[in-house]
Amino acid sequence: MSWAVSSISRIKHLLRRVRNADRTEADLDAEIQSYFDAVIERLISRGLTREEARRVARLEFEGPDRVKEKVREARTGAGIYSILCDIRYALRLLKKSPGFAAIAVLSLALGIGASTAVFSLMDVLLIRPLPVPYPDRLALISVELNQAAYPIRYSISYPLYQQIEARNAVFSGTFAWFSGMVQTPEGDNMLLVPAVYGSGEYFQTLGVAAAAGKTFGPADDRPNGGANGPVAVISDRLWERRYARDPATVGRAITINGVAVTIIGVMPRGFFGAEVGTVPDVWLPLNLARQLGDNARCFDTPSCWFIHVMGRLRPGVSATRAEADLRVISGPSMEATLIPGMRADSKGVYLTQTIRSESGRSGFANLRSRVKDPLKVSMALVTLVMLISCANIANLLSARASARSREVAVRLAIGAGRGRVVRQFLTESLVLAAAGAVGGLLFSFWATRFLADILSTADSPIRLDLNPDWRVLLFTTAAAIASGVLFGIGPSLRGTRQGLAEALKERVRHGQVGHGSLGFGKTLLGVQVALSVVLLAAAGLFAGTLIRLLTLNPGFDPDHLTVISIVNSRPPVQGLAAIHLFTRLADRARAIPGVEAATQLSTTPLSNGGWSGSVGIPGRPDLSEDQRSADINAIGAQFTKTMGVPLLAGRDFDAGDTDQSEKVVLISENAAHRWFPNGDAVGAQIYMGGPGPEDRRRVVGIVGDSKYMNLREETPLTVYVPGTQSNQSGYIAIRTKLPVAATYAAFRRILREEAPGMPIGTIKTMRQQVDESLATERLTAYLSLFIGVLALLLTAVGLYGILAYTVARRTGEIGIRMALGAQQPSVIWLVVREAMGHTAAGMAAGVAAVLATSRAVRSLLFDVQPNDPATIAAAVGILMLICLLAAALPARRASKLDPMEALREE
Amino acid sequence: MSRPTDLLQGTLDLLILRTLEFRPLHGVGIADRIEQVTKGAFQVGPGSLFPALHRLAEKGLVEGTWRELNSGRRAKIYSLTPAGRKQLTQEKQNWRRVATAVAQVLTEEG
Repeated sequence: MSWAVSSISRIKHLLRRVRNADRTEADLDAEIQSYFDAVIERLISRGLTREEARRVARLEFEGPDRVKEKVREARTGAGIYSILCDIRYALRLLKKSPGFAAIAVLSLALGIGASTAVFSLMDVLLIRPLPVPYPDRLALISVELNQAAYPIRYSISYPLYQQIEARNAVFSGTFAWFSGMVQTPEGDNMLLVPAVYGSGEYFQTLGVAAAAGKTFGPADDRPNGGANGPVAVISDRLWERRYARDPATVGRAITINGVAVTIIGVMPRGFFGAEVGTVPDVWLPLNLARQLGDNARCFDTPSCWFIHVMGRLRPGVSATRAEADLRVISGPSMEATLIPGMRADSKGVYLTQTIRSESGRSGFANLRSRVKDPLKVSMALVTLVMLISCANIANLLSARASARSREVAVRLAIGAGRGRVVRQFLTESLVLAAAGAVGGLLFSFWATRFLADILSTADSPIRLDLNPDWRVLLFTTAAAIASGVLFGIGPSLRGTRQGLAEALKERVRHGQVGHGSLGFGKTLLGVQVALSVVLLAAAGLFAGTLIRLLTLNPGFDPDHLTVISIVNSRPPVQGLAAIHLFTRLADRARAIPGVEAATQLSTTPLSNGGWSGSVGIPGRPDLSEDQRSADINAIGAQFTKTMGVPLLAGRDFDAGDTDQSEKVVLISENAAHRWFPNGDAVGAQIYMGGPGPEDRRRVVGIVGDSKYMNLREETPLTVYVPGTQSNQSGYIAIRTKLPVAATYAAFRRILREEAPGMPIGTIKTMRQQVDESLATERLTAYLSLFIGVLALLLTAVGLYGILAYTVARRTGEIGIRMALGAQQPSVIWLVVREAMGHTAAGMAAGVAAVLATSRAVRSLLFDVQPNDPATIAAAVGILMLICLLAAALPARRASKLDPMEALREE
Repeated sequence: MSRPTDLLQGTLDLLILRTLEFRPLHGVGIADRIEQVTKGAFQVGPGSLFPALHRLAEKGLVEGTWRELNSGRRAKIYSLTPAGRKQLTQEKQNWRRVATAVAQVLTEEG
């Protein structure tokens, strides 16, 4: 108790002292002074003269300064106190040079902010563990084709999952799931709600229980329906939004895809399952998907890769053992799931697949494989810009340290240890770094959301919890401390190295010092310039990639084109009814005022998906399988006009192409060349789907080539079939200058009338689709551009600082030159030459670094070589230009010197 | 200066508190008084006195205020706080216990 009271009292004293450091010191001064005065008075009263009394006092007792120092040391938290004093002193110094402080803090904040933003994305997508018990014991299961060129597949077939579940001996439980949108009516509207279909062990294996009610289990996940009929578990969010947290929700029915499903539980807030980036509102037993019509036909098809699988390791089983076990069961599992009627070569490939596992700690993220490399490259880039930032501040600090050399010399002379002075300098750096970290966190808050928004597209929306967790805060703190020490240690060691005599001998006039520190600054500047070249080249390569992709002619005209996706009802409209529905929708879309043309599509271009097949060409047995395989799109009338694809020969589809008329196709120009090199494509026949007479289709036209899956692919051979002859439509494309909202409103009305209860999936312009298809490219390009510009500015500031300093230092020399007749241009040249001298070596080193490292990013580039000379030249050119600009001001100042004035100063 | 006895840790604090028990004193007064009472056994120099005083002030056991002396000089006068008085009582008891115990040990050995 008394200890606590006295502790509080001591802390109060400490704080009061820090706040009133000056007053405390003055008080101590006065007190000690009065003591010695009294001692001297007494000695005088004993008959000594004042002089003698002083001498005796000095000899008898410790000196007043020593006593004061002892008092200071005796106080509580002497260490903390002196650190706080250092901080206070540092703040006071920084306040005195707000320009320097602003530049330092701003550049740090931008650097730390950018790296924190990148790290936040890495954290949330790659690092952060799932919010479930013992996430380290989870394993993510995938299939690898033993050929390097194929990516690992994180989706597998249901039959294969059943094999893994039955054969493995290493998991205490495995579960499978797929996510998608389900339909549920709300008022007049049919809503699309994000859902997860999970196998019976889903919740049990994850280890998460319901917050209210219960979760479903194996008994609910049966091919023929669960023991208790169709059941669902809903999210806390849906419970709140739709049911106002009514406890009676559990037990009620919710209509999903037209089927009444019983709600048996509500999950805890924040639970999202095993897939990072998704926020499901409904969980349904996997096998219920058969009944609800989602991937229904996939369950018994070994060629349908649609589910993700995870397992929980049995106690005592290591990840390595699990991996080995899965390898062992791979062969028999593949054997047991062979696709009937598979050709011999495909069968061979299928059988060589290996089941593998990796840590499932961070769950599964669809985005992961795509963003891993861009994020790593971005991290490398932000690290480099942080180094530039540090070099810059080190240079500025170094100049300040030089300016303070006299102060430092005096401090050292009156007995401060060098360590103590270095600590003061470092404190100043860390104060800067801390301010930079705070600014950086604020900036990253915005930047992280900006980057995450780029990655989230209308087709696959990604919802990430972007609030910084302890990892992010730790990262930011570490980055700040590391940079603070990095830019602080050099200048502080150098600043305290100088001997006293040397420092005092030197003419110290507004920051002039010896040559040594300039050499240090030049080296740092060289490093900055070299890193800037690297960052600018990276920005050039990534921005170049993005621009090339954006300006690439996709073969169709993406402007003024809006695409609406229509999600079929559950149960779906099928067969002729579907064909007629889409024909009518396209017809009525054409009648919307302001619409130039409209057509139906089975695939939106650039959506990374689609339909492909093998085509038979009569009389061309020489064509390999590869040369006959084509991407397929089912389209309606006005296709060429709507998409802006040129019709090169023959005719478009029209109202005459019905399910009753002759089966016809349009083919792309490259397909026509490949299959009919004699130019007799139009009128010829091809086979699609099989060799029978019913598979024969007549080519009625040739259209321009266009991209199909994405912009990066080689333009594929494409075959177009009429939607009326294929029943595959899903989109209505509309060429119009109307704003999206107007098109949406008009089309919604039409859809309501034609198919009440059918939801509109997404509506977006083709430009949006292009942008979204380039999400990772945009991420990398924007980041690298931002970083490049930052590097450029920092380097310019750094160079300006050094030049301004040298011009000031050479005032006398320049004055003499001018007095001897040097003209303005030659003085300017003097400064510019100095600038080039400082930067040339850095530029050369930078170019060498680019040449040595740029190959690492080859896979992220498009249509540009990693060593693209134009890009490197542009990087160097821009940097030179900026350097000249940075040199302009000091050069001007030098050329405007009045020789007499300059010499007088000398 | 002569340092006849090494002060036990905390002994100086006790001496100061005891010195201030009956009246407030300034630094020189405290040093004089201790020297006088101990008949010169303890001579307290400023290098020990002031750190101890400030430590005690921090703990809230004494407090110092600036006053004008009869001589016209200003000096910081220290006095006991209520907490200091309580502490002194406790310390005195402790000291007696320790002193008795040590004395006993010495007697037995002797």
